[in-house]
Amino acid sequence: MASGIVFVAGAARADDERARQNYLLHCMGCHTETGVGLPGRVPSLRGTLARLAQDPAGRSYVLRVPGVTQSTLEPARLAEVLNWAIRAFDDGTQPAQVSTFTAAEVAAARDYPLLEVNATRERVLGAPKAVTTPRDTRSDR
Amino acid sequence: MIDYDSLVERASRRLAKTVSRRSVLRTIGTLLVGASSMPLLPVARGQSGVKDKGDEAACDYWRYCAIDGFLCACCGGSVTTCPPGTEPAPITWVGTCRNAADGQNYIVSYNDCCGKSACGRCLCNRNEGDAPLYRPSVSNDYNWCVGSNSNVPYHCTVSRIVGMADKTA
Repeated sequence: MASGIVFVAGAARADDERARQNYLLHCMGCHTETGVGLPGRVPSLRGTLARLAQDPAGRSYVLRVPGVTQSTLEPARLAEVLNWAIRAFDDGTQPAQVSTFTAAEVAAARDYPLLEVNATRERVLGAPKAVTTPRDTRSDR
Repeated sequence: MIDYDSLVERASRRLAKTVSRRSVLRTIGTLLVGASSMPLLPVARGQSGVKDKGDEAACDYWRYCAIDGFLCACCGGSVTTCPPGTEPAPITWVGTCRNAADGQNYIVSYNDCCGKSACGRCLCNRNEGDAPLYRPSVSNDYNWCVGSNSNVPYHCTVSRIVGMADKTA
């Protein structure tokens, strides 16, 4: 029993690491390493991703944005990245209450790319806040 | 009340009795030479935890496997830092490079440094994994300074290791 728990915990960590690496390879270029994006140009994932995932309109929006529909990741891996990003960038938005994305959900929605991305985002999230400090917080390595 | 004059006088006389002027000069000289030569000593320039080998100012350095631009290490910056007067564009392209020193693959973020005209030194155009323009996050043909605060002028490119690439699908 104990070894089973250790095995499950280890598998979860491995999936998290795979999801993080896929995020770095497939998403970070635009959304940045910390998920803050570039205000006014690339939407932030911090806090907003968890909020969007809490209702059907938001989930549909997430799965039909260009970064998702054009991704070369297979649906299961993409769902894994989205679920990791919700936890990693939740900023206190209670991700435990969010249903995880499934591979089937990703595969079904990504065939219908959004044409009006910004307008749809505004409709499901409300008007964006004014652009303030377009700075990334990562450190140089 | 403390008599500072007497204190300093006594300390000075004690020092003069026990230490020769030559030894004071020798000590000061040693400190001066030592301090000035410290920056010349070899230091570990690699990222902590990453075995790093190679010339950061040479195009065949392993981190540059997917680069297309001027190397900041030749332009007054380093492999990870922009030269003075420029700033890194937050929007980047990303590559995966194999480090021969440890046989591991690393995810490398190529950030353009922006704000001054093109450096013009150490042009390096290696395109491992480079994708067409319609896949921007893995295309190195864009001028990513369009996404920076200082906007368009492109100066050079840095290569930051952001993680391992041992579990990617």
